[in-house]
Amino acid sequence: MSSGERAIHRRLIVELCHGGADARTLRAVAEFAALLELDLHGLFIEDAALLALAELPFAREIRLPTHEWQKLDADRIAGELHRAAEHAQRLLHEVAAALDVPTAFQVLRGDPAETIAAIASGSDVIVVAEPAAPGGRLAPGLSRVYEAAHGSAASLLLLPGGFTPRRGPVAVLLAGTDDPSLPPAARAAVNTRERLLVLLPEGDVALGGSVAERAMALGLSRSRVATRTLGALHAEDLLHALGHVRERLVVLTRGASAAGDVAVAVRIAADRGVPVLLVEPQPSPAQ
Amino acid sequence: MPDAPPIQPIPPDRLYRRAALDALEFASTAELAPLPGLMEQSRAQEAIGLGTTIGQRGFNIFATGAPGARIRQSVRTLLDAAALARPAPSDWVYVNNFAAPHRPVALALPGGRAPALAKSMHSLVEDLKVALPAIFESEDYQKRRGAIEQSIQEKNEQAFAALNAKAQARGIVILRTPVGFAMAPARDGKVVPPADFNAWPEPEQQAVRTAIGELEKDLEETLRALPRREKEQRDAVRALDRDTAQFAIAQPFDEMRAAFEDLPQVTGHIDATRADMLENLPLFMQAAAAAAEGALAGMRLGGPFDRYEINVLVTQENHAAPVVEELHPTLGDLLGRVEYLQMQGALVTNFRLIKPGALHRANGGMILVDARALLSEPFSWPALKRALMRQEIVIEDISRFVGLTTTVSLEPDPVPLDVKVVLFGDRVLYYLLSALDPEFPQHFKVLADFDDDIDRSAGTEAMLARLVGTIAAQDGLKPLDRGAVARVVEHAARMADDAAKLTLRSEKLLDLIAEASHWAGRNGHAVATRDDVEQAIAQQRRRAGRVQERSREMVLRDIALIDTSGSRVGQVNGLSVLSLGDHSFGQPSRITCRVRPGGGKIVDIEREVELGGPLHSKGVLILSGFLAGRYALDTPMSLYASLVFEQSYGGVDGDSASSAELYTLLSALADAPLRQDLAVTGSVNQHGVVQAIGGVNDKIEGYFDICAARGLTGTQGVLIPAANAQHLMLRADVVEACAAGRFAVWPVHSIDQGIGLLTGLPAGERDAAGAYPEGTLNRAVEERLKLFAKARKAAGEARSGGDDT
Repeated sequence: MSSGERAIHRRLIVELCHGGADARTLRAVAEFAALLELDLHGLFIEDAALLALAELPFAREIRLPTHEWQKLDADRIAGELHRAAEHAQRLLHEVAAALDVPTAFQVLRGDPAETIAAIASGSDVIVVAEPAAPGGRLAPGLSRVYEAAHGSAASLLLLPGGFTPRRGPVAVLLAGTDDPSLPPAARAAVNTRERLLVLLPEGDVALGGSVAERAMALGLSRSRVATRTLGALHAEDLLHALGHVRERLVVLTRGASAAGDVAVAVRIAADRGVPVLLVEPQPSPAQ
Repeated sequence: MPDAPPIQPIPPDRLYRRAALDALEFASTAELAPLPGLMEQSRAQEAIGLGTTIGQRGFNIFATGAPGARIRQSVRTLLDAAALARPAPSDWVYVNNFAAPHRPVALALPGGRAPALAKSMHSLVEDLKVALPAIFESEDYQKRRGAIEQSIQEKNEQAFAALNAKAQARGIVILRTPVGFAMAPARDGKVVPPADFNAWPEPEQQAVRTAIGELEKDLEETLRALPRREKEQRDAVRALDRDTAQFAIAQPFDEMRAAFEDLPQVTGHIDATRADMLENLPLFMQAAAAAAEGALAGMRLGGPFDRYEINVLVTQENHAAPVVEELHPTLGDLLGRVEYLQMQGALVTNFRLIKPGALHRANGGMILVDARALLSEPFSWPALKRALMRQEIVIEDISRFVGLTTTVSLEPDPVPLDVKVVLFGDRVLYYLLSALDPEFPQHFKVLADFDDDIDRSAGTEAMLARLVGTIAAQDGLKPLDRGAVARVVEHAARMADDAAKLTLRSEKLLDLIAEASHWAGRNGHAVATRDDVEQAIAQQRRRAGRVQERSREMVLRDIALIDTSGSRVGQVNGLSVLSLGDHSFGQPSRITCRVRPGGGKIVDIEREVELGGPLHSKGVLILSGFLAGRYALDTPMSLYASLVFEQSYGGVDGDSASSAELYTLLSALADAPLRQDLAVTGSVNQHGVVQAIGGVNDKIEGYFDICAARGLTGTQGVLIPAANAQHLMLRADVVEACAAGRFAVWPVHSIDQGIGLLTGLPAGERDAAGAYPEGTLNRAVEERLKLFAKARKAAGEARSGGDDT
């Protein structure tokens, strides 16, 4: 990246115990870490409640895929969690090494949602991935983890279920020249050698020019920046504007527009089958 | 026997027959019309004509002839001509057998159409590699697929939500374990720690346990529904994929089908391909992903799209029956083979790796195979016979024969075989196969036996001249002038060892022409002359003449004892021919005989020490018959004679020395010296008639060279059978010496003629009283034999019988 602009984000955090430990998801996550120039941080959060439950004499689990019931044993559960953590760590390092992405791996124990909320900061992007297994959403723990992520200061990378990486432009919805979504979107476009499709609110003539200039300052040539205007910055308008684009990534700023909402971002990801980076606006120095 | 006619040397003009070339007017071979095909091989031509036109099974051809007769080239010329009269055969392709991939299907197409099929299918697959992923990425498809997935997902979510709500209502929460799910008591959405739970009143604890027990059944049922819904989703997506793809592939497949609708087998395969594609659509999705990553997995041999390609095994581009030569007929080269690719340490194969053999390429036409090479290759000969018997080509894996591999291989469909096989090779191979292989006559009913030589006439000389010109032109050699051609023709007669024949061993003539062209270049001649041909012949002889020179040197240094002057009793110069490789030469050998009274036995010393062959022994035994029938008819044969080739340390065979041996025997019996300035060759029968032998020219020249080296005396010469006079094609220096009276070649009809010449004595004939006249050789022989009989009788009486032999 040729720009001297300081990157907002440093880490891409992926929770490996409940959500993203399958190889396909991890590989996609590592690719995003590479194109957004982030360190990949794997978190394996052992659910303390599960270990505590094992102390109850009647506690038992149904094991998949055999559907057999078995008494919960604290030592066995601890061992299985340990092995799962090792496997997740090995997988993480493999996919990261293949793309030359810096990685860190951390095993924590506690309430997963509270742990995520505590660890996430404004310089982080948290991966919110649909679990690969159909039963992944059965336990509410994962939803609580993602809710905690939504509520944190971190930005979110939403990966839709069954998504396949594809080629295409990076689309970014900008509410203004200083919209924090522009730098990561431009970075992704530069690193993937794709075009940057800038979606702007209708009526602000000067905005297009200044965004293009800023994109050029971020390392993109003018020919690789395209702009489109939207009647309004609603989800429907955004979906309509994207039309047949076949974009590879959508970048939005949370709260910057009507579309910059978690629920809308989730819908865009599901409808378009495309990852969405929901950037958390940073507090201004005055704040 | 009547008096022998007076014997005269053969006149010089009959010692060498010059080429006349009267039938052709030309200054150099560049002016001659080329000679296509063969020279006067009507027998072989007719045989090949029969073999190539007869339709019945087994009428394959074995072409044979002398080494160096260019049988292969000659047969090829005839086959090329015969091929023009045959219709162009089918193209053959191998395609995937989708039901059983290890048994690829062979399809026949009209000649020349296979490449179009292969190209069409390849283009179709390439187009679909782009079109199918595009259609699956279309908004419409994605929406429909998303709807299916969402529908299933919603069912799951609803089930999960219902379960969670039910659990929550009863104060239970579902937890994810490393490999499954568990249920825990909860308060305010959080799991109750064990210590707190244990502090609850027992009824409350029991209520939780009961609730968990009931909810576990719901959890189990919810989880068991997941795989069913997954399958439901997969089936729905697969059906959607099929419907979507059907639309994309319909038109290209219909167009391709229309192009081959006259070929039901081909359209059947096109339909099978279409059905298989619909069942394997993920292949195209994976190919698109691989292409996006820059991989070429789908492009290379052994890739996933091989299954749809067409392996063009053989195509008839020339629209004519093929004529194929297979000079290295290994099993694989003959019947085709299945090759393998190494992939990740394993050997894999598919129908695209089936390679055609010579039989595939020749199918519908003719194949020319070197018989010796065929018999030298393991498995090839039996495999060819199997193919001819079954009338189909089955690709046989040699490694499976010998158990060298256990890798998965193919069993391709056999290809029906309709080919005319032409083997070519030595006559000995033909006779051995006829004698030893009972199946051989069943498969090779036509013998094309190429003559070694042809009668020499103005017409055949002219034909040979044209052949010489054709060879020179084809091989880029210098043209030959009239004198050079004449010399080549004369050399062809010498190679035939017969002035009245011309050899058909054209390979040797080709070598001679090439060398003459070389020397012409060295000598600065634009056109090869007679001298250039002479130089080429002389150089050929010199290159091969080391042993000949050593042999001559041994004689000239009196190490090998050969007299070329004077007279000796019981000693004569015999002549033999030594063949070393391609070179042969004559050399004299001293033959001697000693006699004494005995039991009527002539001892062949060569035979006694096992240096003499059966033909030589036969010749010696004939001498006994001659003596017994001519001399001392009223007394028992009481002779002991020993015959030997002096200083002969190798084997001796043939009967061409039998007349020489008889001369020495008669000389020894009659005590009449034989001239040593003459050498003798010829076989003899029991009546004393001298018979023709082979190698007469070499023999005469061998003795001439010794005499010439010592100095020709004018009395020296060679006695040859009169029947061999017609074979004479002697070297120019020999002919010149004879013309100058310094050497002579004597044509001998009978032993009486020869013995008269060698001893100076008349042989003599019995008078009315049955006695030979005084002063004749026969009288002397008979009297000696009678003396032997008396001596033997006396000795027998003294010892009261017994045989001293």
